[in-house]
Amino acid sequence: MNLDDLKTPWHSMQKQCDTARIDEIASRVGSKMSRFDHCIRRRDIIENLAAALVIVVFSITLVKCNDWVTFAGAIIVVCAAIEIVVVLNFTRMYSPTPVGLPLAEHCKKEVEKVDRQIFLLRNVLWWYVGPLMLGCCVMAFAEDSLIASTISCGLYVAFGLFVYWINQRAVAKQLLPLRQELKLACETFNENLSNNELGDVE
Amino acid sequence: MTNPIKKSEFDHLLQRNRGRLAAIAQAYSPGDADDLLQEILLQVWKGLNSFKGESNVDTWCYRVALNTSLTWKRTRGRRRNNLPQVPMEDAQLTGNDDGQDAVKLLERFLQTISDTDRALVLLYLDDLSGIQIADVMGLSESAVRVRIHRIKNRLANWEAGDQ
Repeated sequence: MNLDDLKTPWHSMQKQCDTARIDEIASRVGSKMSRFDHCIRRRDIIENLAAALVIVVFSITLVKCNDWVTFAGAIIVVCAAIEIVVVLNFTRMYSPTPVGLPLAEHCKKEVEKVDRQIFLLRNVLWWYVGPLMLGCCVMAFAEDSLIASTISCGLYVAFGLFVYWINQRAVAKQLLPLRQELKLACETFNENLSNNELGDVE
Repeated sequence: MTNPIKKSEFDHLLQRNRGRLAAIAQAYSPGDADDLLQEILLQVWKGLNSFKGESNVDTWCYRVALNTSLTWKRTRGRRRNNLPQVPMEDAQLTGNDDGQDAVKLLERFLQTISDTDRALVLLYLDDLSGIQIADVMGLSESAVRVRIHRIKNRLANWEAGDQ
């Protein structure tokens, strides 16, 4: 048997499909997507809203505070929140890879997307957690009691390090294995092919 | 409210390609073909917004279906080396030439090859030209020819009971 003998069963598989079932699935997709067409990705909204809230709250603090320590801390937090919004929106961390690309290119883009995510999560201490933690710690030392300030600062640092640890765990448990799998898949498109193995496709 | 133009475009695309999309879902995920098919149709719908007509829309739809199927398998935690092994006796065609046996044989053979080769085989079985297959896969025409040749050899060996 050769590969051409399988054309008839392949066409049979297509003809045997349950048209009514497919139309029913398609109608579910249609109604779901009509809602999606008017929505932005939920995670983007949450991240941007959270950043907006932080900017508003700490901007009010900036205006109302009467000591330079609180002022400095609030400025750092506001700048950090703006920087986080810029990074999230301009690195397009959550953007899906277009599915209409040629398969080899789609695979490559998926690897690039995961690499972007890994880079951001590995450096989350510098662009996300660190600046916010720094601003909060500075504001903590506006308190009268040094002990209270130290404890507050310690709690902020502990929380920040916990968030950092969660992100590193996500990299190790999810993103790196996914990257490995994607790289293997991409390699199947790049296998070294011998020019002596020629067959006629048509 | 659904965009009526987009709905109409989607419906026409579905009418022309429903059998093919369902068969692709079956080929890649026999256990949950309906779920995969739904995901494929979802991606087609979403992708219609960004399709600019740079290629034939049916070819584009084929790419969407295959990319979605490949991603589906990854997100479902399946790996190439966990593909079920076909028992040797099942690799033989029965003597009565029943169409259903041939379909089952095709399904079994598809499960023994890699996801990439499976995509290549489906495109070949759909009578796409070498140029069209290369366009969908993102490979050169010569690479497509060599791979098809290898797959043909593999099929012959598989049928002969070679593991």
